[in-house]
Parts: sequence; C-alpha cells; structure tokens
Amino acid sequence: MNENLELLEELQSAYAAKYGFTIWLTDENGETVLPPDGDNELCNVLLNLEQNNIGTKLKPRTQKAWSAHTPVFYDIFPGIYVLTTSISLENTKKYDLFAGFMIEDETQDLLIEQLNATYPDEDIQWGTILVNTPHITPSAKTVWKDWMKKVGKLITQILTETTDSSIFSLQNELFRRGVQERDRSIAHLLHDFFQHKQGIDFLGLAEEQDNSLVVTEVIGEGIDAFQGAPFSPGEGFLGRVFLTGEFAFWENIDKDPRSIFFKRHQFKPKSLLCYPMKQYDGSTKLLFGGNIHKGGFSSSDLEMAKTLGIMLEAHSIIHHLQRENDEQLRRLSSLIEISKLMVAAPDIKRIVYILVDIGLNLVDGTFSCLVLRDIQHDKVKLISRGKATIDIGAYAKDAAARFFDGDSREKQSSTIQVTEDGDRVVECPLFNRGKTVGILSVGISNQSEAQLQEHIHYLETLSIIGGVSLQLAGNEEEQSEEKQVNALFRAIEQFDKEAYAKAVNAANLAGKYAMHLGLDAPVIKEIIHACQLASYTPEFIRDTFPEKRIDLIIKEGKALMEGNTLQWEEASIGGQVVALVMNYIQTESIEAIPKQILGNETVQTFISFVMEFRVVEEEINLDELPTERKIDSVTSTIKEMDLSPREQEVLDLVIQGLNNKEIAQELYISGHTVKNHVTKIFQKLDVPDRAHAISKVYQLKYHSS
Amino acid sequence: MVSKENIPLQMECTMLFQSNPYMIETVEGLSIKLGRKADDILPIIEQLEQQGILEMLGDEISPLYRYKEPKIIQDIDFAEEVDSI
Repeated sequence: MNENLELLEELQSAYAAKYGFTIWLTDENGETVLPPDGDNELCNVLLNLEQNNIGTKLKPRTQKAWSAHTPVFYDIFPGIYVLTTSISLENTKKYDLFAGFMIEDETQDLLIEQLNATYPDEDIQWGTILVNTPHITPSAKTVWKDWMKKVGKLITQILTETTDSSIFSLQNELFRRGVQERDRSIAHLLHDFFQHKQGIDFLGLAEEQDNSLVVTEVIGEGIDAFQGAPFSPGEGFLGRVFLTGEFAFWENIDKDPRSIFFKRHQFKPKSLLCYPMKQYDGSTKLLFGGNIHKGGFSSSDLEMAKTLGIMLEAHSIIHHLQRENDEQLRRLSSLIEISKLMVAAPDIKRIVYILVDIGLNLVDGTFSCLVLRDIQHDKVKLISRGKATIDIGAYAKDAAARFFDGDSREKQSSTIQVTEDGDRVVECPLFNRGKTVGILSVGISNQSEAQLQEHIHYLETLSIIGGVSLQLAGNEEEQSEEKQVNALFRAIEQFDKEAYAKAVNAANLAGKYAMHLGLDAPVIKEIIHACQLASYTPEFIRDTFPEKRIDLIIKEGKALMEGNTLQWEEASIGGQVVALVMNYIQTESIEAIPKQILGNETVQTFISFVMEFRVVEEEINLDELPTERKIDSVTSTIKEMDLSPREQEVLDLVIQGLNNKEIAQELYISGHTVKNHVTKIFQKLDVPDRAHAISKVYQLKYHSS
Repeated sequence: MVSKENIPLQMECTMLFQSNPYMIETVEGLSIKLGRKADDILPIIEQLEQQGILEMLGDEISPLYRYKEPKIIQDIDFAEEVDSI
C-alpha cells in the first residue's frame, strides 16, 4: 500500500507541475486520501480560507451528478472551477479526484472585485494570483478533460493493485476453513469463495458418476438450470479437461459450436475456465467458472481460479487422510479388543474360530482359513470359512508345504500368493519360538495395493497374537501334567525295571477295570496315574501334583492292601481299584485277596473281570506302553460317529445330563424334534436307552484313545 | 458392502455369535443386545451372512440368524489326498 501511495504522490506532483493545478484525492466519504499538492495559488489560498466550506461542497453524497465517470467542471465559487472525476474500483470502492482551480477567460476583473468584496480583511494581491491561474478556453477544456480521464485510469490501476492483498486474505481465510473445519463441504467452500470474489459470474462442480460426469453444484447467475447436467469424458469444453487433466480456459465462446451443450440447459456463458481437481482415490472432479457478461478473463482471474482448485484439492486430501486416520484408530481399537478376547479365550477351538472369523471381518475378504500344524505327525488341520474360488484342501496342502518345510529358519513374515483365478491370498504365519505352528490365509479380491498393504499389517498382527495365544492355551490344554506323570513314570524304569514292568501292567489292568466299572473319564485317568506312580511316596506325589487326588488314591490303595488301618467301605472307589489291581499284580493271583473283603461288590466284580481278562490276556500285548494316552473330549468322539450334525449336538447335551425339555430350550427346537433326534441316535448307536448311549460313547472314546 | 466405519460393530456381532454358538436371534433382538440401531445392524448381518459366518433360519419376512461353525478338514497329509469330514 505504501508503495502505491508513493506512486500516487509522484503522479500527483508531476501533473500538478505540468498543468499548474493543485490536485487532491478523496474517498467516497470525502476523507482525504491524497492531501492537496501543487502550485495553483488561487486554489491554495482559497482552500486555506474556506477549508470546511469547500470540503462540504465537494462531498460526493451531495453531488449526485458526479456519478458519471466522465470528468466535469464544477463551479465551486462563481467563475472559479474545479475539474473532478469519479473513480470506481472492482471491489466497489469509490474515489474522487480533484484538480483546480481554473477561471473562465475574460472574467478576471469581475473576480477580483468579487474576491475583494468577499474577503475585505485579507491583504491578498488577487490580480497577480488570477494572472497565474489557468484560464478555461475551449481547447484547454478538451485537453484537461482528456488528461483527467487518463489520470483517473492510472489511479484506478494503482489502487486496484493495492486490493490484491484483500484477495490474499480471502485465499488465506478459505485455506484456513478448508483445513480446520472438517465438516465444511466443498459446496460450502465454493459459496464462501463466491461471496467475496468479483469478476466471475458463476462457479460449478462436476463429478464422476458411473463412467460419466454430472454437474453436482452450481452457484451464480443464469446457471441454475445447469445443475445435474450429465456429460461424457471428452464431450465439450469440460469433458476435454477431464481427459487431458490440465487447466484450460476459453474466451468469447458464445458463438462457439461447443457451447450448444450449455445452451441446451439454458446456460449461456461467454467465457469459461475449468480446473481438474485430482482426488486422493484417483478420481477427478472438475471445478469450472466463468462469466456470462464478459467475454474474457484477466490473468488474476485465471490464477485465482487455479488457487481455488488447488485449495479444494488440498481440502479433499486432508479430509481423506483424516478419515483414514480415524478408521485406522477404530480398527486398531477393535484389534485390541480381539487380542484381549484371544488371550482370555478358554480353549484352542475358540482362538481358532476368532482367527478365522476376524481375519475375514478385518479385511472384508472372500474367504479365510487357518492351516494348523500337528507337530508330531506331518499332518495339518484346516479350518475354513467363506467362499473360496479355489479347492481349499489342495490350497492348504500347498501352503503347508511352503511354510512347514522343517527348516529351523522357517518363514516368519507374511506373503501374498496369487491364485490361478488371479485372486490374492494374504498368508500370515502363526509362530512362536521360531517354529511355525500355522498359517492364517485370507483371500482378497478387488482391492487396491494400498488397501492390501494395510490389511497385511492387520492380519500379521492378528496372526502373531494368534500364535502366542494358541501356545498359551496349548500349554494349559496340552496336559502338561500328563507329560509330567509320564516322565516320572518312565523314570522308574531307570532304577527298577521290575517295578516299572509291574506298574505298566497295573496301570493297564486298572484302566480296563475302571472302564468296566463305568467310571468317569477323569477318575479313570487318576486311577491309571496312581498305578503308574505307586512306587513314589504319597507325600512326594502330593507335592508334585497338589491339585490332583493321585496321592490320596495311592495312600488309600496302600492302606487297603495292608488291610488294617482303613475299612474297605470307607475308601474311595479309586483307592479300591488301585488296591485290588496292585494286590493282583504283585501276587499274580486273586486268591491273595483278603477274605474279609470278599463279600464286597467291587471285589466280586474285580474277580469276575480278572477271570474274563485272563481268557483274553494272550491277545493283549502288555508290553505296549500306555504312554501319551490322551483322552480327548467326548465331543471329538461324537464327531466320529455316523450321526448328523444336529444329532451330534443332541447327543452331546444328552451326555451332559440334560433332559429332552432342557435340550429343546438349549437348541431352540421343539421337544418333539428332540425326541425324534434322540430316538434316531438310539437306533444308530444300537442302544435301548440314554444310560447305554452315554456308556457307549465313553467306551468308544476310551478305545480310540 | 459394509462401510469401513462399521468394522468394530461387525467384529462385535461376530464375537457375540461366536461366544453363543447356539443363539438364534432376530435383527431386533441383536439391536437390543448390542444397544445399536437395527438399521445399523442389518447391513452388517447381511455381510456376515454373505461371508458365511452367520446362517439365516426362518423365512425372509422374519429372518433369524445364528452362528455357522467354520468348515474343518482334519488330518491333511502333506502328500496324501484330502479327505473332508
């Protein structure tokens, strides 16, 4: 602004000297912008004497006639004139330029008389002053008017440049809103811009919709009917910009044949500009604007439009990134929830289901599967979900071969496998302690590279947590106690081969006998363990397995064998079995059973069982170690039976002791249906009632384990 | 397709069904259980059904949903043929 003021002052003094005027400039309120400057003595003296009077007379509001932009002579005092013109800028600001004074030719004497009469007290040589005052002649009039016009234009130019700073402040404001106000839509920003910007009659926005373009937003004069107009890429002015992806503008297009498209929508632009805004997702939005009155653009109009376009681009990218960030946070918090669930999951089955289901959820995949490795045997288990386009079994085998190659440095990073159909499968290994225990695979189709990369990170995290959780659950489930028992049992062999051989036989016999008695699986297991570990003192066993009753069973068994400290009937069934079996194994005869307990039912059953057992003894290979004897849950046994999935569910509940009514409630089916299922199960298992069905399941389970 | 904003809800639904494999529920019932609007839940349930995590019981007018267990194939030998159970 200072620079412009200097220019104006320079202009003022140069012209004042050239024409002998005093020149000044006021704004629309009559406030002085440029104070009077020049050597016109008449003017300087009168301004000095009549400052307020002249100021009031020249106030633009009182002089409506001056709204004309051509210079006029105004008689400020009779016979004394000032030349003035009005200057209006694009931003609606108005200024008034004054140059004076001048007198009409041949009026000198009259003026002296008049001035002396007006200012009788002043000692002023009016005659000398008036001689040096410019005289109005027809030729001078034309020259001055012409000059005034030019000066007016010059001042317009200079003052317009100063308003550029207001454009910058508008831009800054728009940028600030675009960045900070998240909910402000592009349409809002366009309106904000349009409110302030002169020089453009309309603005609009066109967006891609189903392979074509549609005008989605219009602001301004004469463009309302253009809203919603569809066009194709390459069609007309706008369609061309869409294809080239470069800013373009056209002037005087009202006669251009390509503008027919606009006319069809009752829209008649004379000039048009268009800026293609690249969006973060790869699409393009077209920003267009122009004039319906003016056939061309100033260079600042063009730059301004570009700036607006760039600003809207930035706005869209910022918001896209913000949205993406929010989404990442949401997903991350979900992942944390899932991790918590997985760590707290009660069993392996649950963890596996979470991995398969959440894997599919997280990335909106086509299918997901978990290939789990059975370390002991070179086999894998496959749990799958969704609609795979490939043969999932064959795929699992292939993946297993790639990941479980037996090398100690197995792959521990995710890979992307492309199927024959071109679908991509993200494969993330589940591992712990350098050993790959499984692979989580999720099929992904129709997703961009960036999305894919993002998904890989999530799936990798999921699979790492999965690997660790499986290991944790495995430790609990993996009968670490079973292993401990086995180790202690095997240790006996190292010191006393004979005792070990007896313990093997005892455990074998006790297991079979306990089965024969129809005892519960955990009880049978404890009895077997007691027989295996009977060589140790009960105190040692209690210290080693504080949560089990093995020590009690051993203690009772031994006490019963000695037959004096404990009454038979007072002992637990486990103690009874152990006593009978140990006694039999040590003496190798049933005759050694003390007579006083022969009347007992358990003892009688044992005797008949052993008699029967002896007959088939030859066929049983007693050397076969019952090591690693694993008693699965009943569910797996049920699964092996030839039953429908629903029947399996019903049978599971029957075993849990539920009656028909309870089963109906649990499965949300009618009591009648339950009855049907139960009857079918009895037929298939060839049993007469529930008790036999349960017994049959346990028998099968025991034989299979 | 479920918009990405809904992934947490989608997971919540999945975990609810997974934790209660015998539960059979309507969309309205779910909206009460999860404390969400039925309109928000419906597209998610449809997506989960599409992915095979849920199965629809009953008819189109009053659909009921329940968890569908994943398919399990056991004992695939690296070299042998696959036998599906």
